[in-house]
Amino acid sequence: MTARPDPVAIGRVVATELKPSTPHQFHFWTANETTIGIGAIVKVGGGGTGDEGRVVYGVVTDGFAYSDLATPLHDVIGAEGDPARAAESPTVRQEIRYWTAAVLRQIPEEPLQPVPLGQVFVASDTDVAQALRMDAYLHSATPTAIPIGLYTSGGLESPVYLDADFLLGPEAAHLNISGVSGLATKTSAVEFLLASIFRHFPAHKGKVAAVCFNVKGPDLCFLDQPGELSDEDRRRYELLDVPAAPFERVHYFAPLKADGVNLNTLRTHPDLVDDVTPLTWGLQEVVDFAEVLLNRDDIDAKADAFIDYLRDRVLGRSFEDGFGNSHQVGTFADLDRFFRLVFDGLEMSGRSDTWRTHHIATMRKVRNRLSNISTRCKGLVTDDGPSSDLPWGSFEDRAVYVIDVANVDPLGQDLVFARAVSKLREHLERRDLGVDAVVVFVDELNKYAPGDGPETYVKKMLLDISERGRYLGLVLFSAEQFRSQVHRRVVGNAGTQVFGRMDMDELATPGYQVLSPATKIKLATLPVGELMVRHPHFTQPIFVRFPKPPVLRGRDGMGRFPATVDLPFEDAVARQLVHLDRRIRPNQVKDLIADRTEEDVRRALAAVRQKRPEDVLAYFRKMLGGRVASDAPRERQAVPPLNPISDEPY
Amino acid sequence: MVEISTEQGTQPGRLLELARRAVDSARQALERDLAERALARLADAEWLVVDGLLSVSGKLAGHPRALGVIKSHGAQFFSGADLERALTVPADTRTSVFRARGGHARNEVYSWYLRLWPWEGNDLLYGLLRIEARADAATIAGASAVSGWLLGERAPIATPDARWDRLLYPIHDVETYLKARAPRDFALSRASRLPRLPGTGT
Repeated sequence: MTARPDPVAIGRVVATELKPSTPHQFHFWTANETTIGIGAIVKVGGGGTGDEGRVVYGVVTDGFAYSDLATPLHDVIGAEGDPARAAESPTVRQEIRYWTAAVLRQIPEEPLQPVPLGQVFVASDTDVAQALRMDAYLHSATPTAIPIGLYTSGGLESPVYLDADFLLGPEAAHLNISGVSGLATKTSAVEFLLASIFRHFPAHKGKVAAVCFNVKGPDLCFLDQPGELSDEDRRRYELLDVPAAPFERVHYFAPLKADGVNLNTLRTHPDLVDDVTPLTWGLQEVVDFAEVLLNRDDIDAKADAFIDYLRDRVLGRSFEDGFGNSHQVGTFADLDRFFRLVFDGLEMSGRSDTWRTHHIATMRKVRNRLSNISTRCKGLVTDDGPSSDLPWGSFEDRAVYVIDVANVDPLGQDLVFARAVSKLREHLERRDLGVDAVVVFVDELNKYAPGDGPETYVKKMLLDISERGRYLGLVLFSAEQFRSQVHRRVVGNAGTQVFGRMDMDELATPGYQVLSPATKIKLATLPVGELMVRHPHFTQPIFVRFPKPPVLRGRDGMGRFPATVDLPFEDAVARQLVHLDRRIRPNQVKDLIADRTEEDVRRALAAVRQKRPEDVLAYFRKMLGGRVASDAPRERQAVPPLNPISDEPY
Repeated sequence: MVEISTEQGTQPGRLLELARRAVDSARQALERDLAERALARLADAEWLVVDGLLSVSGKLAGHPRALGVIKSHGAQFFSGADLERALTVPADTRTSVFRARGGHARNEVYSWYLRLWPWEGNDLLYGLLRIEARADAATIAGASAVSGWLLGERAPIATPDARWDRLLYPIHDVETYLKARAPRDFALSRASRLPRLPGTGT
């Protein structure tokens, strides 16, 4: 056994009356040539070099270089006004490196005292774990450590772990990531972290899944495809014990386009499109979230009361409208018929102002808004026919569910988000989702939960997840460009906060006042693949490096799997049926749907998607119904008048 | 530690002066000894620049690559017009080499004056150095080159030292080092002379 070499001191703590050591901060100097920089973790004392064995861990937050130059004027005089001559000076002016460090941890923790004068060492792997208090959850009986990246400073590559209890609940939860757009850092970081969570989620915490909303471009469209990784990335994956492979279980959901048969997603390459499940909802699915679709002016007590009335008394049950009409409202088409008959009834009866205590103006407004849903969100919301939804109740462990709403109308995006999250919450409350925890990833939080602006339904939902989700296992991973402009309670409730490269204007906002100027500069110039992390166990922000995610990036994916142009109606229907049953030949489908209305075909297709029968083609044919050939109108035989009394022809 | 004789009186002020002189003398002896040891280790292309007189040591005075740089001009080698010429030498200029005799010199050396900075607007001694080197014809031949090297040492300026106009930065650097290494109670304290309280560090 070889003895470990004694660590070599790289600096020494200094304290002056002007800049004393405190329990939270200290200063030290190093040689001019040193491996440490902003964000480096250092250890003071230990091995008898400190104050009675006290060991202090700190992270470098600022650095200074001094020379003995009294004023800049002296340098000018020395160089006789010629900068070139200054460089020719035979003797180099004395210069020192002087650093400020924020205390991460003191051992012993009590009594908390100012940092003693002592030697400064570069932190080792063990020191990093101690400094960040990771030892408590890394080496416990039930470890809850989830790697987020590597601390790389001073030639060290030490894994940094988050505590699952504080990342995914119940102690704290949620993660918020900020950074300028265009560098793919935010999405990459979340992709890597999801892979890390899937690998390291503690067994005693059960099963975990992720629901990701793809809100722009092809960002999350290729999570199941391998990306290119360098040897350096693979080595980092090995160090972090995270598989350098794409996600094994990814399920894609995307609404249909307005034609009702082509998918509204960029993942339409023939090799991949079969994995995308259409996401279509009918009246039953949408009406509970009618508030999402009504703007602020619409939401009043009267409209609200009428929607409740519809929900409780009309939808999905037999209903008599009081004018001799019975209704069974299950689709938007049924709803439209219901409104039409009620309005007709009111008009005929002369009671044109109220119906069942609801004013006709309120009813007209609600009808107008609800009817518009299927128009504005055509493809997502169907007028009639069955819906196609996420597999509520049978979520798979370590699976990612991507809901692609990138090309959906903003109203539709709100609707998808509100319903998906509500259903997740509902099932998690009942413990029948199929998994015990769900990570919901939402990008563009500036848009969905802005700090100012109206109180939208989506914002309320995000606030609700942020504040109460951790008890249910509903965890929000959110990303945005400007953290300062996101609702304070949403970001404030995020137990873990991650920062990529930041805009200087953003860093000038009050939320970043706790950071030193040097840390801000580092944040403003952070390279791709490096992050600053704040976590409840870390008393100071820590910089970590993470490997490139093992999945195909959206941009690269579009190069390798370009989206196809929309197929003609018949081809799109055939493709969907062939996807369900490989035995079907496209021509069979085309023959079946020839001369049939698109509405009928869409309805039959939706029924097939929902039923997933053994014999797809037979079921499709059945749903389509028999073809009724239109007969040419027969010529009527004229009946002569019985008793003509005039010249009129009837 | 130096020993002083109390035979010359026991008056504290007088004793302090005697102590200062004794320490000064011991320091000079140490410096001389150190310089002579440095000479022994001097490589072929290396020069030794001494802060002060070269002529106090025979070994230093006779070495071909040793220079003495004198900032204070207590010793006077000229009078009349020669003195005026020596003290008004312009910036970046040296006087001719002369044989230095008198003052504290114990060994013969050659010397010359060198002006680092323009004295106009200041006193005559502003920026004025006197250089000592071996009493040899080679010194005369190399005086201009040596002066050029020394002029190059004007930058960086040895501020904030008040003598920066004559203090070469490397010498200032050594002084800073020595002051930092000196025992805390070596320098006279300008701080409070209140009695220290035991156990408080004050």
